[in-house]
Amino acid sequence: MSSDVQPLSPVQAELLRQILNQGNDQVGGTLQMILGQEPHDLTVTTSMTRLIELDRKIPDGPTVSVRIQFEGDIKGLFLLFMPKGNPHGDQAAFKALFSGQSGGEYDPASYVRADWVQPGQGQANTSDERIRDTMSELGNVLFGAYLTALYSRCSMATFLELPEVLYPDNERAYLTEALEHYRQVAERSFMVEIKGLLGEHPIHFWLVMMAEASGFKSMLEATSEHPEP
Amino acid sequence: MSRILVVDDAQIMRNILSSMLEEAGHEVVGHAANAEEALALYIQLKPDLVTLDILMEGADGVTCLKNIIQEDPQARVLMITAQGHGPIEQEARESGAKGYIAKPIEREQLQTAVNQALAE
Repeated sequence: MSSDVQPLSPVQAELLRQILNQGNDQVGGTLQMILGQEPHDLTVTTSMTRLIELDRKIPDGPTVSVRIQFEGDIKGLFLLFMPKGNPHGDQAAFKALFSGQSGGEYDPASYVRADWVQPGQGQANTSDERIRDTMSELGNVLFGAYLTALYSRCSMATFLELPEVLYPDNERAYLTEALEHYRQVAERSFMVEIKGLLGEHPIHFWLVMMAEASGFKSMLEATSEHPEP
Repeated sequence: MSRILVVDDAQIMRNILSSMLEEAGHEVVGHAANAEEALALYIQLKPDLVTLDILMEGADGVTCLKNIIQEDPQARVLMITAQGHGPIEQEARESGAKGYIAKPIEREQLQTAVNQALAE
């Protein structure tokens, strides 16, 4: 793996910015849909990061981690990290997200209505299952938006695989595994940091996107062929 | 008011969609988490409309759509996915879907798509 990362032309940089911005535009709506209330003071910051620098940019500590691979014209990996808290307990936002936002205990009865006919599979009956269910869908919708943007800007079709969730991820296992694999085949990653408030609780997520270098090169060539959005 | 079957492998999405549909005056008659449950409930409930997620564990939503259409060629199915791009949408429409919505979903967008699918 070469340590030299090929610089982007202004056109490539601009179109990459547009792809990422188009995905970023869906963050607020996604959080509102999943969480049932609109986050406020939301900031979405995007940066391009060398893989070798990624490890120190994701904070230490237990997280809920989501991993989704994608296939198609570009192959790669999405990761979502939400800090669970600190050794002394869950962060307030974590509790707010998964305790019905009222601060009360999780009540499966409020999550599954008896009058919705259900054969019984795929139900999130415990708090842990609900967290996995929610985080899977959050990752699915957030990352789907970036792939939609990629198609609309570059006509490159990609397809999400099923999300995997690790909760809690105490050892940053998904990040470690991803770096182990992708440092062989990728140079760059894109990191999106999302901060805001849900009610009075701070929320904080990191999204990481890695693509195999060959696919990334194809994307840059495609962006050069599509100067107009 | 229409009777609607909601199919999504994520329970939170089933609940979100159901709440939106009920607020719009529809009756959610069932939830299914995968393609097999969806077909069984479709046969049992004969809903006016199905909202169907594309990315699901096991058989995907397009396969599920084809099975439902095979069972009932007049079935109205509205596809819902996190990825709103051409090839997926084209395959869904060619397989008989009445509409296609990309997540995140807004109430008005869902209501418009449901009304259009029901009107066909």
